[in-house]
Amino acid sequence: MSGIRNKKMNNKNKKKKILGNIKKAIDGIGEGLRSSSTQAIQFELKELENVFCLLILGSFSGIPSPPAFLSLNLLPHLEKEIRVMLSRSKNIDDPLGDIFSVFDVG
Amino acid sequence: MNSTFAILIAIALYFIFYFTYGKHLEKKVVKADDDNETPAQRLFDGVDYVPANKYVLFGHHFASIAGAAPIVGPAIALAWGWLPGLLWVWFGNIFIGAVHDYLSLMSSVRYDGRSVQWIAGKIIKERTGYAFSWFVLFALILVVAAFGAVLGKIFVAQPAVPTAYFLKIIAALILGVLMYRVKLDFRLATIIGIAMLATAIFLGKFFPISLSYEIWMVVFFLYIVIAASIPVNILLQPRDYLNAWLLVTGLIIGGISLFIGFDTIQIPTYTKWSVPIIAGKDTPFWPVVPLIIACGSLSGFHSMVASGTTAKQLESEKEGLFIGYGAMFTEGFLSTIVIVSIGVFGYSVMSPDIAETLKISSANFAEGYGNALKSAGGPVGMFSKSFAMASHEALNLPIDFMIILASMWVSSFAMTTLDTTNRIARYAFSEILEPVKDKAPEVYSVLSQRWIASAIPAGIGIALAWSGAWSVIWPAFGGANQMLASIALITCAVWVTKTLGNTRALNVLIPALFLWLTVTIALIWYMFVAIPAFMESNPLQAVILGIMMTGMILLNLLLIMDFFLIWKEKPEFRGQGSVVGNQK
Repeated sequence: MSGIRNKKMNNKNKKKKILGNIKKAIDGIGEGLRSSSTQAIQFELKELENVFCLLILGSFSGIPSPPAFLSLNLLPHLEKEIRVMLSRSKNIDDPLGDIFSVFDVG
Repeated sequence: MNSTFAILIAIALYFIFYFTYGKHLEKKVVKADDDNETPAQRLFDGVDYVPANKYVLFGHHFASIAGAAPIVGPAIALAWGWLPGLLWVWFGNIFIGAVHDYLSLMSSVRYDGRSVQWIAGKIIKERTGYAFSWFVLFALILVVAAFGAVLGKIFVAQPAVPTAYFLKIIAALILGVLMYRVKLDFRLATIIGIAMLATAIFLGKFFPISLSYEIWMVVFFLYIVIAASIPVNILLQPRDYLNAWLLVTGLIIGGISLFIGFDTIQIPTYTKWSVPIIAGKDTPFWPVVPLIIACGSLSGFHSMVASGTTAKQLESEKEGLFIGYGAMFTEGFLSTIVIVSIGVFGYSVMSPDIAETLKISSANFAEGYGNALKSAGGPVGMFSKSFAMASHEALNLPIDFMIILASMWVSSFAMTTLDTTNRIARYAFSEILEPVKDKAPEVYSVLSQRWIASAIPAGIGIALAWSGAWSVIWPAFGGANQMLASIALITCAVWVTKTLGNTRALNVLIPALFLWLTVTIALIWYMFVAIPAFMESNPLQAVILGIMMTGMILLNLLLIMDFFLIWKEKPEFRGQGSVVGNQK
């Protein structure tokens, strides 16, 4: 009896697991489809961060920086941006692919 | 053949080949291994390199690669009958398109998420990467031309569609305010957004906007240039959010309607080898159909997406197959829906006179299908009406509403593409103008200026679209796109054979060379047959197209020369499944 009950329980658990996985897949794909509408904002945000970096560290590329005390005050807020900037300068060769994701051409 | 079986065969084919051919590519060609860290893990920075759940990444990748093209191309290719188009969609998908997408993704993953363009420059020759940029610019201009022409036709033929589209823009603006200013609950805002979208479609019928084709061209040009100055969160983001709903609704309704319909495909299975579809000239099935069907079976733009964003978010190498290979199959399934719905209901949506003439014989169908498309409002008109009929027959949904919904679905994709053009143009220009930068900095600063960089491709594109000859412009766009695919696939073939050491990877090499050959011969045919015919009616546009096509053919010859030069060199075997990161 207990064997049959265990089997039933196992089947129930299996069904639950399969349904859970299907739900996870549908939710995930839905989230991915939705995120296609926010990628334009993400791209703009990245550009704003680049501009912010340029404002603070612009003197490296010949753009006048703000007064030193302002730059120094803002520098701690740039930790993450500096990491990202280093990664981008090393690894990202062209931003075309990034924008192509927003480009619904098929 | 009936619609249910066609849909079932498509599902079965995709399912079987995913688990056989796809898995073979994964295990034997790429040798994907979860022990290899992906760029998302190795180079995690929380912004560009972030591991994403495989389903989320699939949805995101699919939304990025799905557009209007897989709908428009197959609708035109039905002139050869439903079987040749369907076979090319399936064959191209399984053996070329999905292989191209998957390998672009995986080669990028092995090269720290770099673009295919960079990889081409690295493993073939630097100038190959540069040629890639030129193709992107040509493709960009032709995208504006092709989508502008197709959109213009549908806006003229169905005046309810522009009304619904503009009402949708207003709905998007309201949705943006509700989401970002009022901070309304996301789910409630979504329900309100969808209700507004349905209202926009419903009201479109009562307040049509009837303008001439030329005025629409001017409107599109202004729209492309102005869209660059609108903050994205105000219009573009909520609009694209509504677009995602349109895509999902369209795919589900279309799939279910055709699956449960058991409707017989009415149009001829096969008409003849050469049909008068491009510029009224006899157009051979091969090599031209690959240019017409374009993104439905394979697309070079996908390599940009795969290596641009997807590669930087892949969590594990083994998930690459589901995302790269699987998403392309989903797009092929979308094209299957298009072919089957027009195949079943195409005659019902044409005017009775035209339908009767086409029904006489398959030769009559081949001769008259081009005109039937024109009378239905172009390929989009033909698809949207057939789609509406399918959903009406199977689910009893109101025809008028469904026609506008389907037209909006395609138009929305095309519009998104048009307004993104200016962003891409800016970067494509800066790549191409790099050598000019030092020699003539003034010229560089003028041409790379945001407004000018977007106005040039938009201006040339709209000038081409002005002719209204979408049947001539569309294959040119397809040619540029397939050329990109050809470069990407040849790059992947070199990567697989030279870098991964799979010297017998014929399943990559053969599609790459087949695609190169097909596209090159198709472009030569286009240059010598279609353009001279186009010259008679639109000399200016024909000259512009001729210059672009010549440039593309020359670049393509250069590419194959580089490919054979690198082929002679000794293989640089780096061990199977090697992570070739950080190579400069």
